[in-house]
Amino acid sequence: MSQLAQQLVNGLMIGCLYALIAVGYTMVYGIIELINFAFGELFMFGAFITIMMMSPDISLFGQTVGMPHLNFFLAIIIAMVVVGIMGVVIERLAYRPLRNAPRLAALISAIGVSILLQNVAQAIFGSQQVPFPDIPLFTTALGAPKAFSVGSVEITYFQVFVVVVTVTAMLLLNLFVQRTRMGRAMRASAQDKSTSALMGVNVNKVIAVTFLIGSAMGALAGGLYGGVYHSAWPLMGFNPGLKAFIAAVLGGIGNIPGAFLGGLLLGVIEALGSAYLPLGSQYRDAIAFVILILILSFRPSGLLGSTVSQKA
Amino acid sequence: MARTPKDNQTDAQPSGSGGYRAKLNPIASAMTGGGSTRSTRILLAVLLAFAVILPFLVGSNRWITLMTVVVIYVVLASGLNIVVGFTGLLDLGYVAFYAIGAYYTAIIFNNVLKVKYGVDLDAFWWLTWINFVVGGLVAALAGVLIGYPTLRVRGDYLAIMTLGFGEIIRILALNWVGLTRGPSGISGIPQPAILGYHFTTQKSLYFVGLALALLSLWAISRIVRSRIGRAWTAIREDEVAAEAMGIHTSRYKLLSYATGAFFAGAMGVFFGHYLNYISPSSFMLMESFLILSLVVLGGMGNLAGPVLGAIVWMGLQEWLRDVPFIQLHPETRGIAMGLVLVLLMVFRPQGLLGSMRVKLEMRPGSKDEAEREREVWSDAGS
Repeated sequence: MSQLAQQLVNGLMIGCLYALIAVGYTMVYGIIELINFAFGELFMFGAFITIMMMSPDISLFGQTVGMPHLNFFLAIIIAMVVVGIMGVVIERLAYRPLRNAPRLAALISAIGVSILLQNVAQAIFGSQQVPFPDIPLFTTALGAPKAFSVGSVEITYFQVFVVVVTVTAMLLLNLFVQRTRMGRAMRASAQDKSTSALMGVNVNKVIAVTFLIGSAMGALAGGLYGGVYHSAWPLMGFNPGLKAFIAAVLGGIGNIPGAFLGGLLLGVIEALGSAYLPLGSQYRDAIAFVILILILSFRPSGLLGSTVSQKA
Repeated sequence: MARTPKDNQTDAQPSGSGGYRAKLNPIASAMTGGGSTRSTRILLAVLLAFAVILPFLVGSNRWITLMTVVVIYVVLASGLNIVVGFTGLLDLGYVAFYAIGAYYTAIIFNNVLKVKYGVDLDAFWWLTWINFVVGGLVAALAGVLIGYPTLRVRGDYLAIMTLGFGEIIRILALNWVGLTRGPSGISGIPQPAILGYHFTTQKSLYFVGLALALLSLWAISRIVRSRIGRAWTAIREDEVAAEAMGIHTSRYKLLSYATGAFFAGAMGVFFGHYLNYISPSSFMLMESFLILSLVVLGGMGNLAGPVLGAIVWMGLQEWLRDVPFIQLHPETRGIAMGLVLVLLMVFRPQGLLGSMRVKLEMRPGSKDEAEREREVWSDAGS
């Protein structure tokens, strides 16, 4: 019983991180119907930039460079801003020229960006894991994470922090999309780009803002993920990125509450599956893909999505 | 004939008797897989001559090894081109089929024949040759299985599904130790042999690979020019219209995955017998991306494109291997691959050799190429 509860807690926390990345996928897909593979890599940059900002110095291109040594919260906000801008630049250079091209072209471009960013990160930070500095607020004097127990379940303060941050971010985002002028423009563009443009919506700006928000959310997830696993490495974004996309599909792509739900569900299923299925821990990474195949076979529109007509 | 800019309306109404042929012919020629069939043929003939003569000119085994690798990738890229280029379905887990072929033959020879029955593998030399086909068929079956759930959904989900499938196959190869021996891989796969003659030298193995590649390329060129190939192209151009024209799109899409997978599986079998050893590290995701890059670089939907792409890219990669900077920074290769993919998509989506038809499809905005092509045809017709 306590193992079940412990797995649920761990699953929920990872699920929150999936949900944060899934937001980017779901918003971008909702508007320009592109699977932006690069979100996984932006997530990775989020983790690296958070580490950079928190450290007194770090090795870049093999040279030791002095760094601001900020606290975790400031560092992660800077990472969100920087990565958000990266997302906008990527959209401008690699996707906007292909806006009217067939999907295949944009998708291949997205894969190119993803490969590029992975290798650029490897060039900058090296291919080894970079340790994540301890966060004083969440770490005891001995370096162990601060935690409390509910019954026999151990919950760290950082896990609570991850969940609180995610829920807050999701609520703010939902408020933004539902209540603001830009949010309304986003919803309009997701329905019909050309009609929105005729109604005076600056679609290019809407798409840029979408990438900004999606990338910043990815960076937030990256910084938190780095804090959870105490490290960052150039290939760290690949699997969470894919799983976040699967989470977005599971919840219903184009749907922000769906991304949240999908992320949480996927995280929990994965945690439970790897604990209880035979050979589950070895095949942990395959669970998500099995879910994807099942959801595409039985409910392609996702849990909360409305039916989308099939376009060639 | 002086050209003036035309708007779409006059574009859609060809004038004169030559006009109709002009409208039909470029499409007809594009449907067969290349706008410039003759130049493609000449190129292939020159390449073939090179491919046969070169091993006798270069002394070192290193270059012959490189050529064998190129030959393998030529087939892989051409097989992927069936799915991505001709049918317009993005397959990001293509290396899985290659892995299936390789593991199939390795398991048959090593786990079944050698370990379980303890027979002399020399007596089973003929099985290698049969396995080229059977391994391909096993991979094709896997292609159908993975393709089936994606039929009902949009094309770009396919990319993720195939990617996931590729990863699942690799995870299986890594963890199913009883069958695949996990990370340590399977060794002792015999070299190909005919009636006691063993293909052991690099040169002889290269010629086996070349023969397989030629056979594969010939088969692929026949398929894409057949009714099946035309159906694939129609699906790529407009799936709804193709369906309305009576093409059973699901069936043809599955056939496309299966055909693409077949060639990867067959080449996987060759790979196993060529190296005598396989392990999961040969079938990483990056390999799928590499094969995709070859197709994109050469030109999607063009028979010669992947061939050229494989020769240029793999050749360059090998040539640059000795450059100290790249030895020090292996990630340069990945950076180059990513940049090439993005830049090609933005500036030259048809690749180095792409057919004009693909350019039309990839860039609905740019009509000038089509205009020029039409003009050539109407001049020929009048």
